[in-house]
Amino acid sequence: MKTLLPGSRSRRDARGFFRRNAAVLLIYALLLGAWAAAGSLPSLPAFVLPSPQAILQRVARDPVPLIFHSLVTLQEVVLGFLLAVLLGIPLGVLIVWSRLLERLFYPVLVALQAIPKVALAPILVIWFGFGPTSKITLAFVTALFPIVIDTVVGMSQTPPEMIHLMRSLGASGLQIFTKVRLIAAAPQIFGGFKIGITLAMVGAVVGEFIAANKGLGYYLLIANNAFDAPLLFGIVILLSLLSVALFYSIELLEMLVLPRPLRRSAWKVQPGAGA
Amino acid sequence: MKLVPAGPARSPSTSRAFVEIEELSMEYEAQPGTRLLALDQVGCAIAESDFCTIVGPSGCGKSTLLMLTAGLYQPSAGQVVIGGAPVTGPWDGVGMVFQRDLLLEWRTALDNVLLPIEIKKLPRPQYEDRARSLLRLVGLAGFENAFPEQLSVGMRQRVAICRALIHDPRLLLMDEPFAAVDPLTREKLGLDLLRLTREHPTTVLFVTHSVEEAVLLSDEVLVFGPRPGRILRRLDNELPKPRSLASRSDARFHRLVDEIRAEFQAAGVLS
Repeated sequence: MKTLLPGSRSRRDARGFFRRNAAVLLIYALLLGAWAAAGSLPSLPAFVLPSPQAILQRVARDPVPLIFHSLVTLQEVVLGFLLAVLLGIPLGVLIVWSRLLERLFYPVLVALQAIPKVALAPILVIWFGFGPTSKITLAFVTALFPIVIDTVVGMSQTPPEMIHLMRSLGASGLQIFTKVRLIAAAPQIFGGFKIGITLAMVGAVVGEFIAANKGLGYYLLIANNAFDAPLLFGIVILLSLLSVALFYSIELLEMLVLPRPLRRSAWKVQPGAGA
Repeated sequence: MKLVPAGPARSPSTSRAFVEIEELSMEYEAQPGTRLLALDQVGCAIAESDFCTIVGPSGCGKSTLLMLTAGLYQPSAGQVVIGGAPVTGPWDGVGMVFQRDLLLEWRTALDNVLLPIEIKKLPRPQYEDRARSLLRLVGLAGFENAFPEQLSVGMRQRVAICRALIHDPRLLLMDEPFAAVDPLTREKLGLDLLRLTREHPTTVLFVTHSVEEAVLLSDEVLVFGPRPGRILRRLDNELPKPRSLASRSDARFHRLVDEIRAEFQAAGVLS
């Protein structure tokens, strides 16, 4: 992904990309070949392991429902995730800010995280109905935890001396927060986003499994009931590809938003420091 | 209370020292139930534009003294008086340097130096020239737009020192600023610091573990004993100025170093 970004030398970079990743590409090709061979074995029924060509054919024959259900699921995931960002960061900030709020929110958050989300889904359906709201809520609940935790961890990383330095200059709490702590926490918070968005996908699909009339989770159940193995596999692969795309769009956003020196970590450990 | 040759003209009649530390005690609650006495009735006076080093073993409350002077902690007893006014909280005119450079990785060297200006909401254009000249003085001309990750440990600490001086502080507090730097760079940094304070006179309170460093840089040395922190002795440093690496071969350098070591030995710090 990164190697393809500079436009002017993209062709040379593309060639370099293939050279550097020759071994990886070869292994993938071999695995795909083995799968194709196994899938066309007469002794193996097609509903156990459809061949890659069968899956492709099935998907190409009727792509419109796939696109429709993908868009439904994507919308739920993105809305749930955005909600988790909008609430998760302030919640993390509050937890770092106040001991009282930490004691108030943290156990609840951990308890919420400990509940299997599948167990939560029927309740959410009762509360929010069969429509997308219950799925958005489930995506939100699953994505919330890593975002809050990473905000807390990232904000706590600011060394106490830095806070002393800022206070000695007469900085207000808000200045310390906006000029140092939040920016320094950004790489960690983006880490939380990456985990959060993939979990939001899991949450949304689980919601669609429980009760829905659209979305990839619902479509997966339909394919399953119809013993349509190629479609079933096609949907699973599509879900995985969508998650990968969401993950890398966060990474792209990170590259666009964060200044270059922050793309790894904010507080460098110096030799001998902190001893 | 002596005149620094390179310093600005000051009226010798001022009866009060710039920094007065009066019967200062600091007690922490280290763990619930156990109280720890970090400073025990410390008293001293530092004249304006003096370079005062504090040398002592680990955990003797040297850093605590700096924090109290900056107004970041409240003392358990006693007070710090700056220019006649007791310190009750953070006050304008303090520059601080710590062992870690604490540079913000997402800011260039120049923007890091200008951080105090931003916080104090002072006009940036006015201070930009000063920032550039400070960086030039420590040999970082041409690195104004470099990010900290592109600088060596020694260069980073130079930027941190420029940041501490940008707002023309009256008191520079340094807490083992060169402890993370290799020995060769360390002496160079110390001498650079002396040159900076000659160009931009300010009172310096400099905490260190190194007896040699304490002697090489200072006008006066405060020797601290092990916990609870107290001043064992205050020594005037008559080593001629300007100091250089050659100052280390001066007989007076060795005499003072030996004197301080003897003090530590008597206090049971060195055995």
